[in-house]
Amino acid sequence: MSFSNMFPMYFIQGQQWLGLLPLLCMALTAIATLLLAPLRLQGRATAFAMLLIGSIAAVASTVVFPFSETIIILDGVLVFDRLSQVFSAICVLAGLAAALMSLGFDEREALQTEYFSLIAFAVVGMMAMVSTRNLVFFFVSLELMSLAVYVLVSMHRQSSMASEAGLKYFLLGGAASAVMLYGASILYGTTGSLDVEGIRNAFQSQWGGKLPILPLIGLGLFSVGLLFKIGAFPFHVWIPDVYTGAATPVTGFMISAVKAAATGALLRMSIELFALPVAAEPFLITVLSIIIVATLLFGSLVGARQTRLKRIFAYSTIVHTGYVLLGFLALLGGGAGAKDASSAIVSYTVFYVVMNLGAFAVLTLISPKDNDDISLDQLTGLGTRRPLLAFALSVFLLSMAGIPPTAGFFGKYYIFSAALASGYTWITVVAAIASVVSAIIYLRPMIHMYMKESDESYSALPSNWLGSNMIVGLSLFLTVVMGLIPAWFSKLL
Amino acid sequence: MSTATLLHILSAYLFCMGMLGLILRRNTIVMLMSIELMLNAVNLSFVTFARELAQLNGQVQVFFIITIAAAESAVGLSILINVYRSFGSIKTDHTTVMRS
Repeated sequence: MSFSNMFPMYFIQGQQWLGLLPLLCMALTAIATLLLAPLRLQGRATAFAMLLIGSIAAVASTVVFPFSETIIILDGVLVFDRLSQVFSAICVLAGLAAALMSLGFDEREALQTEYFSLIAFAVVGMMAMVSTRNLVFFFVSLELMSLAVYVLVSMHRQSSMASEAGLKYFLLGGAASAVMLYGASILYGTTGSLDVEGIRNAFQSQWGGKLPILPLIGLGLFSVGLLFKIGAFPFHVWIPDVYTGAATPVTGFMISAVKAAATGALLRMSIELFALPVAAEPFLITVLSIIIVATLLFGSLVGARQTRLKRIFAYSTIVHTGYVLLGFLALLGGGAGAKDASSAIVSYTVFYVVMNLGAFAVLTLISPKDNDDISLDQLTGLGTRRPLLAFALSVFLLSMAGIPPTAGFFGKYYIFSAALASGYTWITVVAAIASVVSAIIYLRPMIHMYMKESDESYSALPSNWLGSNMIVGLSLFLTVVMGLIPAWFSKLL
Repeated sequence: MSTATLLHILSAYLFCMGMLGLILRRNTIVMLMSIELMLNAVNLSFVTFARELAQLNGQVQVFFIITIAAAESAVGLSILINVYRSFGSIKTDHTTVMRS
Protein backbone atom coordinates (compact mmCIF):
# COMPACT_ATOMS: atom_id res chain seq x y z
CA MET A 1 0.00 0.00 0.00
CA SER A 2 1.60 3.26 -1.08
CA PHE A 3 1.47 6.47 0.87
CA SER A 4 -0.90 8.23 -1.53
CA ASN A 5 -3.29 5.27 -1.36
CA MET A 6 -3.31 5.35 2.40
CA PHE A 7 -3.60 9.10 2.69
CA PRO A 8 -5.23 10.46 -0.46
CA MET A 9 -4.88 14.22 -0.85
CA TYR A 10 -8.16 16.03 -0.79
CA PHE A 11 -8.89 19.54 -2.05
CA ILE A 12 -12.02 21.54 -1.46
CA GLN A 13 -13.23 23.04 -4.70
CA GLY A 14 -15.88 25.20 -6.38
CA GLN A 15 -19.33 24.63 -5.00
CA GLN A 16 -17.94 23.02 -1.84
CA TRP A 17 -16.48 26.35 -0.68
CA LEU A 18 -19.97 27.80 -1.00
CA GLY A 19 -21.41 25.22 1.35
CA LEU A 20 -18.51 25.59 3.76
CA LEU A 21 -18.75 29.40 3.85
CA PRO A 22 -21.11 29.84 6.86
CA LEU A 23 -19.11 27.38 8.95
CA LEU A 24 -15.85 29.08 7.98
CA CYS A 25 -17.29 32.52 8.82
CA MET A 26 -18.32 31.35 12.27
CA ALA A 27 -15.05 29.48 12.95
CA LEU A 28 -12.95 32.52 12.02
CA THR A 29 -15.25 34.69 14.16
CA ALA A 30 -14.74 32.39 17.12
CA ILE A 31 -10.94 32.61 16.83
CA ALA A 32 -10.93 36.37 16.19
CA THR A 33 -13.25 36.96 19.15
CA LEU A 34 -10.99 34.92 21.41
CA LEU A 35 -7.95 36.96 20.30
CA LEU A 36 -9.70 40.30 20.66
CA ALA A 37 -11.40 39.65 24.00
CA PRO A 38 -8.35 40.35 26.23
CA LEU A 39 -7.84 43.86 24.77
CA ARG A 40 -7.59 46.11 27.80
CA LEU A 41 -9.79 48.87 26.47
CA GLN A 42 -13.14 47.97 25.00
CA GLY A 43 -12.36 44.24 24.81
CA ARG A 44 -15.97 43.42 25.54
CA ALA A 45 -17.38 45.75 22.90
CA THR A 46 -14.86 44.59 20.27
CA ALA A 47 -15.60 40.93 20.98
CA PHE A 48 -19.31 41.53 20.73
CA ALA A 49 -18.91 43.49 17.49
CA MET A 50 -16.86 40.65 15.99
CA LEU A 51 -19.52 38.12 16.97
CA LEU A 52 -22.24 40.34 15.51
CA ILE A 53 -20.41 40.75 12.19
CA GLY A 54 -19.49 37.07 11.97
CA SER A 55 -23.00 35.84 12.75
CA ILE A 56 -24.57 38.19 10.24
CA ALA A 57 -22.00 37.13 7.62
CA ALA A 58 -22.71 33.45 8.35
CA VAL A 59 -26.47 33.83 8.03
CA ALA A 60 -26.14 36.12 5.00
CA SER A 61 -23.92 33.60 3.22
CA THR A 62 -26.60 30.92 3.55
CA VAL A 63 -29.27 33.31 2.27
CA VAL A 64 -27.25 34.95 -0.52
CA PHE A 65 -25.75 31.76 -1.96
CA PRO A 66 -28.51 29.18 -1.88
CA PHE A 67 -27.62 25.87 -3.52
CA SER A 68 -30.05 23.30 -4.74
CA GLU A 69 -28.16 20.00 -4.60
CA THR A 70 -26.54 18.49 -1.53
CA ILE A 71 -22.86 19.37 -1.09
CA ILE A 72 -20.76 16.53 0.29
CA ILE A 73 -17.22 17.11 1.56
CA LEU A 74 -14.79 14.27 2.42
CA ASP A 75 -17.31 11.48 1.77
CA GLY A 76 -19.87 12.77 4.22
CA VAL A 77 -17.72 14.22 6.99
CA LEU A 78 -19.52 17.46 6.14
CA VAL A 79 -22.85 17.50 4.34
CA PHE A 80 -24.59 20.73 3.44
CA ASP A 81 -28.23 20.44 2.51
CA ARG A 82 -31.46 22.20 3.35
CA LEU A 83 -31.65 20.63 6.83
CA SER A 84 -28.15 21.70 7.85
CA GLN A 85 -28.72 25.21 6.45
CA VAL A 86 -31.98 25.74 8.34
CA PHE A 87 -30.64 24.44 11.66
CA SER A 88 -27.30 26.28 11.27
CA ALA A 89 -29.20 29.52 10.72
CA ILE A 90 -31.36 28.88 13.80
CA CYS A 91 -28.28 28.18 15.94
CA VAL A 92 -26.33 31.21 14.70
CA LEU A 93 -29.27 33.54 15.26
CA ALA A 94 -30.00 32.07 18.71
CA GLY A 95 -26.33 32.50 19.65
CA LEU A 96 -26.44 36.11 18.48
CA ALA A 97 -29.63 36.69 20.47
CA ALA A 98 -28.00 35.22 23.59
CA ALA A 99 -25.02 37.56 23.10
CA LEU A 100 -27.36 40.53 22.68
CA MET A 101 -29.34 39.75 25.81
CA SER A 102 -26.18 39.47 27.87
CA LEU A 103 -25.05 43.02 27.00
CA GLY A 104 -25.17 44.92 30.27
CA PHE A 105 -25.89 41.76 32.25
CA ASP A 106 -22.33 40.50 31.71
CA GLU A 107 -20.85 43.76 33.01
CA ARG A 108 -23.11 43.84 36.07
CA GLU A 109 -22.35 40.22 36.97
CA ALA A 110 -18.65 40.52 35.99
CA LEU A 111 -18.68 37.72 33.42
CA GLN A 112 -15.34 37.31 31.62
CA THR A 113 -14.99 38.83 28.15
CA GLU A 114 -14.32 35.36 26.70
CA TYR A 115 -18.06 34.86 27.05
CA PHE A 116 -18.66 35.94 23.44
CA SER A 117 -15.97 33.72 21.95
CA LEU A 118 -17.33 30.74 23.90
CA ILE A 119 -20.75 31.40 22.38
CA ALA A 120 -19.12 31.53 18.94
CA PHE A 121 -17.25 28.23 19.52
CA ALA A 122 -20.44 26.55 20.74
CA VAL A 123 -22.25 27.76 17.62
CA VAL A 124 -19.46 26.36 15.40
CA GLY A 125 -19.91 23.02 17.15
CA MET A 126 -23.66 23.12 16.59
CA MET A 127 -23.29 23.97 12.90
CA ALA A 128 -20.88 21.08 12.41
CA MET A 129 -23.12 18.79 14.43
CA VAL A 130 -26.18 19.30 12.24
CA SER A 131 -24.16 18.91 9.03
CA THR A 132 -22.23 15.68 9.41
CA ARG A 133 -22.80 12.03 8.54
CA ASN A 134 -19.62 10.76 10.18
CA LEU A 135 -20.12 9.35 13.67
CA VAL A 136 -16.71 10.35 15.05
CA PHE A 137 -16.90 13.83 13.56
CA PHE A 138 -20.34 14.04 15.10
CA PHE A 139 -18.76 13.29 18.49
CA VAL A 140 -16.03 15.88 17.90
CA SER A 141 -18.53 18.61 17.04
CA LEU A 142 -20.81 17.62 19.91
CA GLU A 143 -17.86 17.97 22.28
CA LEU A 144 -16.85 21.31 20.73
CA MET A 145 -20.33 22.54 21.56
CA SER A 146 -20.51 20.91 24.99
CA LEU A 147 -17.08 21.99 26.24
CA ALA A 148 -17.88 25.61 25.41
CA VAL A 149 -21.26 25.34 27.13
CA TYR A 150 -19.77 23.67 30.26
CA VAL A 151 -17.53 26.70 30.67
CA LEU A 152 -20.38 29.12 29.95
CA VAL A 153 -22.49 27.48 32.65
CA SER A 154 -19.84 27.69 35.36
CA MET A 155 -18.62 31.13 34.31
CA HIS A 156 -20.76 33.00 36.82
CA ARG A 157 -17.92 32.96 39.33
CA GLN A 158 -19.51 34.66 42.32
CA SER A 159 -22.33 32.17 42.37
CA SER A 160 -21.81 28.78 43.98
CA MET A 161 -24.95 27.60 42.19
CA ALA A 162 -23.22 28.16 38.87
CA SER A 163 -20.20 26.06 39.85
CA GLU A 164 -22.45 23.28 41.07
CA ALA A 165 -24.46 23.41 37.84
CA GLY A 166 -21.26 23.38 35.76
CA LEU A 167 -19.91 20.38 37.65
CA LYS A 168 -23.14 18.39 37.30
CA TYR A 169 -23.47 19.21 33.62
CA PHE A 170 -19.83 18.35 32.95
CA LEU A 171 -19.86 14.97 34.70
CA LEU A 172 -23.20 13.83 33.26
CA GLY A 173 -22.46 15.25 29.81
CA GLY A 174 -19.01 13.63 29.70
CA ALA A 175 -20.51 10.26 30.64
CA ALA A 176 -23.29 10.63 28.04
CA SER A 177 -20.87 11.44 25.24
CA ALA A 178 -18.57 8.55 26.23
CA VAL A 179 -21.57 6.19 26.07
CA MET A 180 -22.50 7.65 22.69
CA LEU A 181 -18.97 7.09 21.42
CA TYR A 182 -18.98 3.48 22.57
CA GLY A 183 -22.17 3.04 20.57
CA ALA A 184 -20.45 4.56 17.54
CA SER A 185 -17.55 2.15 18.02
CA ILE A 186 -19.89 -0.88 18.11
CA LEU A 187 -21.70 0.36 15.00
CA TYR A 188 -18.33 0.74 13.28
CA GLY A 189 -17.23 -2.73 14.33
CA THR A 190 -20.39 -4.45 13.14
CA THR A 191 -20.77 -2.60 9.84
CA GLY A 192 -17.21 -1.60 8.96
CA SER A 193 -18.14 2.01 8.31
CA LEU A 194 -18.22 5.23 10.31
CA ASP A 195 -20.37 6.95 7.72
CA VAL A 196 -24.10 6.94 8.34
CA GLU A 197 -24.80 6.08 4.73
CA GLY A 198 -22.33 3.17 4.80
CA ILE A 199 -23.84 1.89 8.05
CA ARG A 200 -27.33 2.00 6.56
CA ASN A 201 -26.18 0.14 3.44
CA ALA A 202 -24.55 -2.49 5.64
CA PHE A 203 -27.77 -2.85 7.65
CA GLN A 204 -29.63 -3.40 4.42
CA SER A 205 -27.16 -5.76 2.74
CA GLN A 206 -26.08 -7.82 5.78
CA TRP A 207 -29.33 -8.24 7.66
CA GLY A 208 -32.02 -6.79 5.37
CA GLY A 209 -32.89 -4.15 7.97
CA LYS A 210 -33.72 -6.58 10.79
CA LEU A 211 -30.76 -6.13 13.12
CA PRO A 212 -29.18 -8.68 15.48
CA ILE A 213 -28.49 -7.71 19.07
CA LEU A 214 -25.00 -6.16 18.79
CA PRO A 215 -25.76 -3.38 16.27
CA LEU A 216 -29.01 -2.73 18.14
CA ILE A 217 -26.99 -2.14 21.32
CA GLY A 218 -24.73 0.17 19.31
CA LEU A 219 -27.73 2.14 18.05
CA GLY A 220 -29.17 2.32 21.55
CA LEU A 221 -25.95 3.58 23.12
CA PHE A 222 -25.49 6.09 20.30
CA SER A 223 -28.97 7.52 20.80
CA VAL A 224 -28.27 7.99 24.53
CA GLY A 225 -25.98 10.94 23.77
CA LEU A 226 -28.64 12.56 21.59
CA LEU A 227 -31.44 11.94 24.07
CA PHE A 228 -29.25 13.40 26.83
CA LYS A 229 -28.70 16.67 24.98
CA ILE A 230 -32.35 16.95 24.03
CA GLY A 231 -33.41 16.13 27.62
CA ALA A 232 -35.71 13.12 27.19
CA PHE A 233 -37.04 11.22 30.19
CA PRO A 234 -34.38 8.97 31.72
CA PHE A 235 -31.69 11.50 30.80
CA HIS A 236 -33.44 14.69 31.89
CA VAL A 237 -32.15 14.83 35.50
CA TRP A 238 -29.55 17.49 34.77
CA ILE A 239 -31.95 19.96 33.15
CA PRO A 240 -33.62 21.62 36.18
CA ASP A 241 -30.39 22.08 38.18
CA VAL A 242 -28.20 23.20 35.28
CA TYR A 243 -30.78 25.61 33.89
CA THR A 244 -31.29 27.12 37.35
CA GLY A 245 -27.60 27.46 38.16
CA ALA A 246 -26.40 29.03 34.92
CA ALA A 247 -26.58 32.80 34.38
CA THR A 248 -29.89 33.79 32.78
CA PRO A 249 -28.57 34.61 29.25
CA VAL A 250 -26.59 31.34 29.27
CA THR A 251 -29.75 29.43 30.19
CA GLY A 252 -31.49 31.22 27.33
CA PHE A 253 -28.69 30.10 25.01
CA MET A 254 -28.88 26.49 26.19
CA ILE A 255 -32.64 26.28 26.08
CA SER A 256 -32.76 27.62 22.53
CA ALA A 257 -29.56 26.97 20.57
CA VAL A 258 -28.31 23.75 22.23
CA LYS A 259 -31.80 22.27 22.11
CA ALA A 260 -32.26 23.27 18.45
CA ALA A 261 -28.88 21.79 17.49
CA ALA A 262 -29.68 18.52 19.27
CA THR A 263 -33.07 18.40 17.55
CA GLY A 264 -31.46 19.02 14.16
CA ALA A 265 -28.85 16.32 14.73
CA LEU A 266 -31.50 13.87 15.93
CA LEU A 267 -33.57 14.69 12.84
CA ARG A 268 -30.67 13.94 10.50
CA MET A 269 -29.78 10.73 12.34
CA SER A 270 -33.44 9.65 12.42
CA ILE A 271 -33.89 10.11 8.69
CA GLU A 272 -30.56 8.62 7.66
CA LEU A 273 -29.76 6.06 10.36
CA PHE A 274 -32.60 5.15 12.73
CA ALA A 275 -35.48 4.94 10.20
CA LEU A 276 -34.48 1.60 8.67
CA PRO A 277 -33.96 -0.51 11.84
CA VAL A 278 -36.93 1.06 13.64
CA ALA A 279 -39.24 0.23 10.72
CA ALA A 280 -38.20 -3.44 11.01
CA GLU A 281 -38.43 -3.64 14.81
CA PRO A 282 -41.81 -2.65 16.36
CA PHE A 283 -40.24 -3.07 19.81
CA LEU A 284 -38.25 0.16 19.31
CA ILE A 285 -41.45 2.10 18.60
CA THR A 286 -42.78 0.91 21.97
CA VAL A 287 -39.59 2.09 23.71
CA LEU A 288 -39.87 5.52 22.07
CA SER A 289 -43.56 5.76 23.04
CA ILE A 290 -42.73 4.98 26.67
CA ILE A 291 -39.99 7.63 26.64
CA ILE A 292 -42.42 10.20 25.21
CA VAL A 293 -45.21 9.48 27.71
CA ALA A 294 -42.77 9.54 30.64
CA THR A 295 -41.18 12.80 29.44
CA LEU A 296 -44.55 14.51 28.99
CA LEU A 297 -46.03 13.36 32.29
CA PHE A 298 -42.89 14.03 34.34
CA GLY A 299 -42.38 17.52 32.88
CA SER A 300 -45.95 18.68 33.24
CA LEU A 301 -46.67 17.17 36.66
CA VAL A 302 -43.45 18.20 38.41
CA GLY A 303 -43.31 21.54 36.59
CA ALA A 304 -46.69 22.58 37.95
CA ARG A 305 -45.32 22.60 41.51
CA GLN A 306 -42.23 24.78 40.96
CA THR A 307 -41.97 28.26 42.40
CA ARG A 308 -38.79 29.55 40.75
CA LEU A 309 -39.06 30.90 37.22
CA LYS A 310 -35.95 29.29 35.74
CA ARG A 311 -36.99 25.93 37.15
CA ILE A 312 -40.46 26.46 35.67
CA PHE A 313 -38.91 27.03 32.25
CA ALA A 314 -36.65 24.01 32.75
CA TYR A 315 -39.64 21.71 33.29
CA SER A 316 -41.48 23.44 30.45
CA THR A 317 -38.59 22.56 28.14
CA ILE A 318 -38.87 18.89 29.21
CA VAL A 319 -42.55 18.96 28.18
CA HIS A 320 -41.58 20.54 24.85
CA THR A 321 -39.03 17.77 24.32
CA GLY A 322 -41.91 15.33 24.69
CA TYR A 323 -43.83 17.06 21.89
CA VAL A 324 -40.78 17.12 19.59
CA LEU A 325 -40.19 13.41 20.25
CA LEU A 326 -43.83 12.79 19.29
CA GLY A 327 -42.90 14.28 15.91
CA PHE A 328 -39.95 11.86 15.75
CA LEU A 329 -42.32 8.99 16.56
CA ALA A 330 -44.48 9.97 13.57
CA LEU A 331 -41.34 10.24 11.43
CA LEU A 332 -39.88 6.87 12.44
CA GLY A 333 -43.21 5.05 12.54
CA GLY A 334 -43.33 5.43 8.78
CA GLY A 335 -47.10 5.96 8.53
CA ALA A 336 -48.91 8.55 6.42
CA GLY A 337 -47.66 11.36 8.66
CA ALA A 338 -43.97 10.58 8.18
CA LYS A 339 -43.72 13.01 5.27
CA ASP A 340 -45.09 15.97 7.24
CA ALA A 341 -43.34 15.03 10.46
CA SER A 342 -39.90 16.41 9.61
CA SER A 343 -41.29 19.79 8.52
CA ALA A 344 -43.49 19.81 11.64
CA ILE A 345 -40.38 19.24 13.78
CA VAL A 346 -38.54 22.09 12.02
CA SER A 347 -41.39 24.57 12.42
CA TYR A 348 -41.88 23.53 16.05
CA THR A 349 -38.18 24.11 16.73
CA VAL A 350 -38.31 27.59 15.16
CA PHE A 351 -41.38 28.59 17.20
CA TYR A 352 -39.90 27.09 20.37
CA VAL A 353 -36.57 28.90 19.97
CA VAL A 354 -38.20 32.29 19.39
CA MET A 355 -40.57 32.15 22.35
CA ASN A 356 -37.93 30.84 24.75
CA LEU A 357 -35.41 33.51 23.72
CA GLY A 358 -38.09 36.14 24.27
CA ALA A 359 -38.99 34.78 27.70
CA PHE A 360 -35.35 34.64 28.81
CA ALA A 361 -34.71 38.17 27.56
CA VAL A 362 -37.56 39.27 29.85
CA LEU A 363 -36.02 37.26 32.71
CA THR A 364 -32.67 38.99 32.12
CA LEU A 365 -34.35 42.38 32.39
CA ILE A 366 -36.16 41.64 35.67
CA SER A 367 -33.36 39.66 37.36
CA PRO A 368 -32.06 41.21 40.58
CA LYS A 369 -28.32 41.64 41.08
CA ASP A 370 -26.16 38.68 42.20
CA ASN A 371 -29.10 36.30 42.35
CA ASP A 372 -30.81 35.81 39.02
CA ASP A 373 -32.94 32.95 40.28
CA ILE A 374 -36.27 34.78 40.25
CA SER A 375 -39.16 33.39 42.28
CA LEU A 376 -42.85 33.73 41.46
CA ASP A 377 -43.28 36.12 44.40
CA GLN A 378 -40.82 38.51 42.80
CA LEU A 379 -43.10 38.65 39.76
CA THR A 380 -46.05 40.05 41.70
CA GLY A 381 -47.25 43.37 40.39
CA LEU A 382 -45.03 43.24 37.31
CA GLY A 383 -48.18 44.08 35.33
CA THR A 384 -48.27 47.53 36.94
CA ARG A 385 -44.53 48.07 37.40
CA ARG A 386 -43.36 47.12 33.89
CA PRO A 387 -46.56 46.73 31.85
CA LEU A 388 -44.83 46.21 28.50
CA LEU A 389 -42.49 43.51 29.81
CA ALA A 390 -45.38 41.79 31.57
CA PHE A 391 -47.40 41.85 28.36
CA ALA A 392 -44.47 40.39 26.37
CA LEU A 393 -43.87 37.65 28.95
CA SER A 394 -47.59 36.80 28.90
CA VAL A 395 -47.54 36.42 25.11
CA PHE A 396 -44.53 34.10 25.30
CA LEU A 397 -46.13 32.06 28.09
CA LEU A 398 -49.41 31.76 26.17
CA SER A 399 -47.47 30.72 23.10
CA MET A 400 -45.62 28.04 25.08
CA ALA A 401 -48.92 26.82 26.49
CA GLY A 402 -50.24 26.63 22.93
CA ILE A 403 -53.21 28.98 23.13
CA PRO A 404 -54.69 29.24 19.59
CA PRO A 405 -53.72 32.54 17.91
CA THR A 406 -50.05 32.22 18.91
CA ALA A 407 -47.16 30.43 17.20
CA GLY A 408 -46.92 27.69 19.82
CA PHE A 409 -50.41 26.45 18.98
CA PHE A 410 -49.54 25.88 15.32
CA GLY A 411 -46.28 24.14 16.22
CA LYS A 412 -48.19 21.69 18.40
CA TYR A 413 -50.97 21.38 15.81
CA TYR A 414 -48.55 20.29 13.06
CA ILE A 415 -46.86 17.76 15.34
CA PHE A 416 -50.15 16.32 16.60
CA SER A 417 -51.65 16.06 13.12
CA ALA A 418 -48.53 14.28 11.81
CA ALA A 419 -48.72 11.82 14.72
CA LEU A 420 -52.46 11.26 14.13
CA ALA A 421 -51.89 10.71 10.42
CA SER A 422 -49.31 8.05 11.29
CA GLY A 423 -51.90 6.33 13.48
CA TYR A 424 -50.56 7.03 16.99
CA THR A 425 -53.93 8.06 18.41
CA TRP A 426 -53.61 7.16 22.08
CA ILE A 427 -50.18 8.73 22.50
CA THR A 428 -51.43 11.94 20.86
CA VAL A 429 -54.29 11.93 23.34
CA VAL A 430 -51.75 11.64 26.17
CA ALA A 431 -49.82 14.58 24.68
CA ALA A 432 -53.01 16.64 24.47
CA ILE A 433 -53.78 15.87 28.12
CA ALA A 434 -50.20 16.80 29.05
CA SER A 435 -50.59 20.11 27.22
CA VAL A 436 -53.72 20.87 29.26
CA VAL A 437 -51.95 19.96 32.51
CA SER A 438 -48.85 21.93 31.55
CA ALA A 439 -51.01 25.01 30.96
CA ILE A 440 -50.88 25.33 34.77
CA ILE A 441 -47.11 25.81 34.51
CA TYR A 442 -47.61 28.83 32.26
CA LEU A 443 -50.70 30.32 33.89
CA ARG A 444 -49.19 30.55 37.38
CA PRO A 445 -46.62 33.26 36.48
CA MET A 446 -49.40 35.21 34.73
CA ILE A 447 -51.61 35.06 37.82
CA HIS A 448 -48.71 36.38 39.87
CA MET A 449 -48.02 39.20 37.40
CA TYR A 450 -51.56 40.49 37.09
CA MET A 451 -53.76 39.25 39.91
CA LYS A 452 -51.65 39.54 43.04
CA GLU A 453 -50.97 42.72 44.99
CA SER A 454 -47.55 44.22 44.36
CA ASP A 455 -45.07 43.69 47.16
CA GLU A 456 -43.11 46.93 47.55
CA SER A 457 -39.86 45.24 48.58
CA TYR A 458 -39.34 43.78 45.11
CA SER A 459 -40.28 46.90 43.18
CA ALA A 460 -36.71 48.16 42.71
CA LEU A 461 -35.71 46.21 39.62
CA PRO A 462 -33.59 48.63 37.68
CA SER A 463 -32.20 47.03 34.52
CA ASN A 464 -33.21 48.44 31.16
CA TRP A 465 -30.67 47.16 28.69
CA LEU A 466 -30.98 47.87 25.00
CA GLY A 467 -29.93 44.40 23.80
CA SER A 468 -32.46 42.51 25.90
CA ASN A 469 -35.18 44.99 25.01
CA MET A 470 -34.42 44.44 21.32
CA ILE A 471 -34.70 40.67 21.74
CA VAL A 472 -37.98 41.01 23.63
CA GLY A 473 -39.43 43.26 20.91
CA LEU A 474 -38.16 41.08 18.06
CA SER A 475 -39.39 37.86 19.65
CA LEU A 476 -42.77 39.41 20.38
CA PHE A 477 -43.06 40.57 16.76
CA LEU A 478 -41.96 37.16 15.44
CA THR A 479 -44.32 35.25 17.76
CA VAL A 480 -47.25 37.28 16.44
CA VAL A 481 -46.10 36.98 12.79
CA MET A 482 -45.55 33.23 13.16
CA GLY A 483 -49.06 32.92 14.56
CA LEU A 484 -50.39 34.73 11.47
CA ILE A 485 -48.44 32.85 8.77
CA PRO A 486 -47.44 29.51 10.35
CA ALA A 487 -47.66 27.73 6.97
CA TRP A 488 -44.58 29.57 5.68
CA PHE A 489 -42.47 28.21 8.53
CA SER A 490 -43.66 24.65 7.97
CA LYS A 491 -42.22 24.84 4.45
CA LEU A 492 -38.71 25.70 5.63
CA LEU A 493 -37.33 22.23 5.04
CA MET B 1 -10.50 -17.39 22.48
CA SER B 2 -8.97 -15.05 19.94
CA THR B 3 -7.03 -11.96 20.92
CA ALA B 4 -9.70 -9.72 19.42
CA THR B 5 -12.44 -11.23 21.57
CA LEU B 6 -10.31 -10.85 24.68
CA LEU B 7 -9.64 -7.21 23.79
CA HIS B 8 -13.35 -6.58 23.29
CA ILE B 9 -14.08 -8.07 26.69
CA LEU B 10 -11.31 -5.94 28.21
CA SER B 11 -12.68 -2.74 26.62
CA ALA B 12 -16.24 -3.51 27.74
CA TYR B 13 -14.89 -4.24 31.25
CA LEU B 14 -12.94 -0.97 31.37
CA PHE B 15 -15.99 0.92 30.12
CA CYS B 16 -18.21 -0.60 32.80
CA MET B 17 -15.57 0.14 35.47
CA GLY B 18 -15.53 3.77 34.34
CA MET B 19 -19.32 3.92 34.50
CA LEU B 20 -19.37 2.32 37.95
CA GLY B 21 -16.66 4.67 39.19
CA LEU B 22 -18.70 7.62 37.99
CA ILE B 23 -21.79 6.34 39.79
CA LEU B 24 -20.20 5.13 43.02
CA ARG B 25 -17.32 7.46 43.82
CA ARG B 26 -17.87 10.81 45.55
CA ASN B 27 -14.53 12.42 44.74
CA THR B 28 -14.85 14.50 41.58
CA ILE B 29 -11.22 13.95 40.55
CA VAL B 30 -11.89 10.20 40.55
CA MET B 31 -15.10 10.82 38.60
CA LEU B 32 -13.09 12.80 36.04
CA MET B 33 -10.65 9.90 35.79
CA SER B 34 -13.60 7.55 35.29
CA ILE B 35 -14.75 9.55 32.28
CA GLU B 36 -11.22 9.36 30.87
CA LEU B 37 -11.25 5.60 31.49
CA MET B 38 -14.49 5.28 29.54
CA LEU B 39 -13.04 7.22 26.61
CA ASN B 40 -9.91 5.06 26.64
CA ALA B 41 -12.05 1.92 26.68
CA VAL B 42 -13.72 3.26 23.53
CA ASN B 43 -10.27 3.86 22.02
CA LEU B 44 -9.31 0.24 22.67
CA SER B 45 -12.54 -0.96 21.14
CA PHE B 46 -12.00 1.23 18.03
CA VAL B 47 -8.48 -0.10 17.53
CA THR B 48 -9.59 -3.71 18.00
CA PHE B 49 -12.44 -3.34 15.52
CA ALA B 50 -10.14 -1.62 13.03
CA ARG B 51 -7.65 -4.48 13.34
CA GLU B 52 -10.41 -7.06 12.84
CA LEU B 53 -11.74 -5.23 9.78
CA ALA B 54 -8.19 -4.56 8.48
CA GLN B 55 -8.99 -0.85 8.06
CA LEU B 56 -6.88 2.19 8.91
CA ASN B 57 -10.02 4.30 9.24
CA GLY B 58 -10.91 3.13 12.73
CA GLN B 59 -7.39 3.52 14.09
CA VAL B 60 -7.11 7.14 12.95
CA GLN B 61 -10.27 8.05 14.92
CA VAL B 62 -8.37 7.30 18.13
CA PHE B 63 -6.30 10.45 17.66
CA PHE B 64 -9.43 12.57 17.53
CA ILE B 65 -10.77 10.92 20.66
CA ILE B 66 -7.47 11.40 22.55
CA THR B 67 -7.48 15.08 21.62
CA ILE B 68 -11.06 15.53 22.78
CA ALA B 69 -10.30 13.65 26.01
CA ALA B 70 -7.38 15.99 26.71
CA ALA B 71 -9.54 19.07 26.09
CA GLU B 72 -12.25 17.61 28.25
CA SER B 73 -9.95 16.98 31.20
CA ALA B 74 -8.56 20.53 30.89
CA VAL B 75 -12.06 21.98 31.06
CA GLY B 76 -13.01 19.53 33.80
CA LEU B 77 -10.08 20.45 36.02
CA SER B 78 -10.80 24.17 35.63
CA ILE B 79 -14.41 23.52 36.61
CA LEU B 80 -13.11 21.62 39.65
CA ILE B 81 -10.94 24.59 40.67
CA ASN B 82 -14.01 26.78 40.35
CA VAL B 83 -16.00 24.36 42.52
CA TYR B 84 -13.22 24.21 45.12
CA ARG B 85 -13.21 28.02 45.34
CA SER B 86 -16.97 28.13 45.96
CA PHE B 87 -17.34 25.17 48.33
CA GLY B 88 -13.89 24.50 49.78
CA SER B 89 -14.23 20.85 48.81
CA ILE B 90 -14.48 18.69 45.71
CA LYS B 91 -16.46 15.87 47.27
CA THR B 92 -19.90 15.70 45.68
CA ASP B 93 -21.51 15.40 49.14
CA HIS B 94 -20.40 18.96 49.92
CA THR B 95 -21.14 20.65 46.63
CA THR B 96 -24.90 21.00 46.72
CA VAL B 97 -26.80 24.19 47.28
CA MET B 98 -29.68 23.32 44.95
CA ARG B 99 -32.49 21.04 45.91
CA SER B 100 -32.92 18.39 43.19
